[in-house]
Amino acid sequence: MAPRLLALAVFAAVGLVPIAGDAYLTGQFARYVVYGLLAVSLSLVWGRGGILCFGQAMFFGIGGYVMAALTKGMGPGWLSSTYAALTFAIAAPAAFAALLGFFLFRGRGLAGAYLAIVTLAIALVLERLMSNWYGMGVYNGLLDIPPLDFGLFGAHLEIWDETAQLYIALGFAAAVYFGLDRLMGAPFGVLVTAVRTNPRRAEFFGYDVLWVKLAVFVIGAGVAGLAGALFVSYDGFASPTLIGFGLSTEVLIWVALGGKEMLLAAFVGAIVVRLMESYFSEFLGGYWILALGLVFMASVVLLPRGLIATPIAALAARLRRAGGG
Amino acid sequence: MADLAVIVLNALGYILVLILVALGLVVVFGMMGVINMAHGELFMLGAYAVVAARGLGVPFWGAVVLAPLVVGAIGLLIEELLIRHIYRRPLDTILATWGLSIALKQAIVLVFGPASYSVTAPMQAALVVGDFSYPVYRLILMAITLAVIAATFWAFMRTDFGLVARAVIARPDTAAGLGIDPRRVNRASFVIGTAVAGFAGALVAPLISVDPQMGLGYLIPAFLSILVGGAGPLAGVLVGGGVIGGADNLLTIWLSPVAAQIAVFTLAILVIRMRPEGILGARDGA
Amino acid sequence: MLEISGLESGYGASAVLHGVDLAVRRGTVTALMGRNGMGKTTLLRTLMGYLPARRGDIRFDGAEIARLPSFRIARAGLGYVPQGREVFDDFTVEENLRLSLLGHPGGPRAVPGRIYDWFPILAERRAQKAGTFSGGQQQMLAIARALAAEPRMLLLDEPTEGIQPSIVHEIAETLARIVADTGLTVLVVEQNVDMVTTLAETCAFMEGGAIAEVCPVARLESDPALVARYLSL
Repeated sequence: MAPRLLALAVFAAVGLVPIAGDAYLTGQFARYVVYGLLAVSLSLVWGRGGILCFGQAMFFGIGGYVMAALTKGMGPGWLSSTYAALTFAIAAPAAFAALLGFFLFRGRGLAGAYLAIVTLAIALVLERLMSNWYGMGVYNGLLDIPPLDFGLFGAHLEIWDETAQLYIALGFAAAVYFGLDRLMGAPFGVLVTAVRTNPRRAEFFGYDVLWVKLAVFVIGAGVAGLAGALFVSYDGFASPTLIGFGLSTEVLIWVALGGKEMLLAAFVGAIVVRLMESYFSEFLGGYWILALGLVFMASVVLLPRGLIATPIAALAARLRRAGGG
Repeated sequence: MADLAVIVLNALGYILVLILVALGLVVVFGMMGVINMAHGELFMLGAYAVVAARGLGVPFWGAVVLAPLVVGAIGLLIEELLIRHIYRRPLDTILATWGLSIALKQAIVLVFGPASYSVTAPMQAALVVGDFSYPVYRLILMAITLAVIAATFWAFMRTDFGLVARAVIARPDTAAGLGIDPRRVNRASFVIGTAVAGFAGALVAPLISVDPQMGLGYLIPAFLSILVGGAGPLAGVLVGGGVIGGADNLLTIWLSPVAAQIAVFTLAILVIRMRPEGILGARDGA
Repeated sequence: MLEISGLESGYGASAVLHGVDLAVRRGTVTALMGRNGMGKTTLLRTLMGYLPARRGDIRFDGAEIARLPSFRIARAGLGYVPQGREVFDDFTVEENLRLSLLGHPGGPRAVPGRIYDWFPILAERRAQKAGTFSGGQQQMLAIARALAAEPRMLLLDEPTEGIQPSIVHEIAETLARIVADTGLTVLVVEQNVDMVTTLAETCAFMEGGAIAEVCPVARLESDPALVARYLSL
């Protein structure tokens, strides 16, 4: 658990980007922050909840598509406002997660490798589904998605500007991060950890493992859906790649590289990896992905707690020893 | 009638290949309790080995024999450099082999390019019986696959190596206490599993498009076959492969490829949930 | 034959063995006794290399075995009959025995005939799956399996636990006969005093992760206070 100060520092640092960089960089960072939010959702579900979900992007994609469809007016008119659409974009994947989770975790539940494969299979199925769903634009997806509009009572406050995009994303990310931090620090968080490390024993103590897992899974899905909704509003289009295998793999890498047990490390991991990708893939071309795969393998073997989380944890331990003794 | 025969034969061919891939997977899965997420890529490497060999002028059957040797050698390298270090960490092995699959796919893209290749079958002849016509190569493929599956079962059930391997799967510590080196057994099993996958990929190369993404399409059905079939370590794969492969083929004809895939995965997940020990039962479920 | 000095080991962060010193002379049978939780099983598991020795030495027939992997220790001539027997349920008697031979490349090629002499029931049920056996029969199989590769020393962990008294007696007699026939060195963890007096010459008491006292077995009968001190709750 990184000290709150460090988290604030990270958010502040990202907040400085519009000042230090140009509009293009700011826009990129807005997307990175959104990806970071997705990473946080997986870190919650996997690192804290112990649910190895190979298809976390499906919730991102569902949130994105719901947001896209509603704001484009494909649903009822009263749902096309940003507020309503956002709410549904969070609720829909959460509901899906509840159903899915109930099915997967009930009774003897799936775990470990089995869960990983099944969630991967589901992600693939969903990707194919969206690619073939005519109403949702098949392979091309939905285009011309309107930007976020925070206006009220008929007024409009459309978010076109990259700086605004960044700060809004950052705002959501910070709110989610500190909210989850609070939640994980509370008894609920302890319960989640207990269920992750020893589900049998938690059951013997009378806790309903299913509900704890569901809760974590659903919250994670909601956060991922929020990220997806923001993403499509910034990019202006939603496609099946958002829901599928490729993005699920990427977020897994971000979180594993950053540090799955530390929400902040996952957040930073996503940003750092995407940043490096945009920088390196230019002159490394196809070798970037190869390098990433190799670094990922090395990190799993050598630093399983994460490239970013390990030094942070070590630093925190040293500070604690110095401060408290 | 002739159409039905073709459909059945195609289904059978697919099932046999699926079983072969799943066998390679289940040996490692049984050993280490973990899935090698790069298994599909080893299958793919077998196919590309044939592409490369053909490009060098090696005759087809020579390439098919070469492929498992090449892939087995790669498997040995993987075991030595990667698997060995995370052997006691099954969940990390999933991730690490996932990373490996990404690296292998990209390596192939860098060497061969992202587009697909096609390999011509060694013979274009077809078996013709009245209305019915079926490519001879497919029949040969089925025969060879069946032989290799039978050989794998035999090796596992009737040889000393198989006995030792099954002992290490059942009780690795007890086996070690009897003087059996579990590491060597695991390594041998891993290499055999990868070689079998490579061989399957090589055989299938003339029938499908050889591209870097072809692995995933076999990994998931193979794994689902293992889960659905149950029992084990090997018998379940036969049942599971039959169910998954058969369902996939039949549904593809009645519905569409997309709907079939959705239906098969859903069916598999349902079976696994309802009956975690698999169809044949008697296996520790999830 | 076996010299243990200053052995420390344990599970994870906790320490169970706190400096064990024990010497087992060649051709003798030593019983390791003590209450539950004193570290007897931990000691055997450390000897076999299942647990890493954090400190101390283990010399087997002059060779240092403390940090070797389990299979090498087995091949060095140390046979192990674990607590709970751990027979391979799905394998036949023959297969169980054969595994022991396969694990010792330099050893016997076939199951030595006297294994079946000592355990006639195994000869009768050669092709039967071990999972169908009773506890006592499985125990005999586990012992036979350890003996099949002709080890120089045998470690047994509570061989009579959970087995009916008549079979316990049979096992004790068989073991005594084996020791007489072969001069095998034995270290056996046992709570059953009758078994110990039938089989062993020396008795080592474990307490708190170390050896508290070593004495000849005769003293078990002559000094009831001894048993009370180390074995009762």
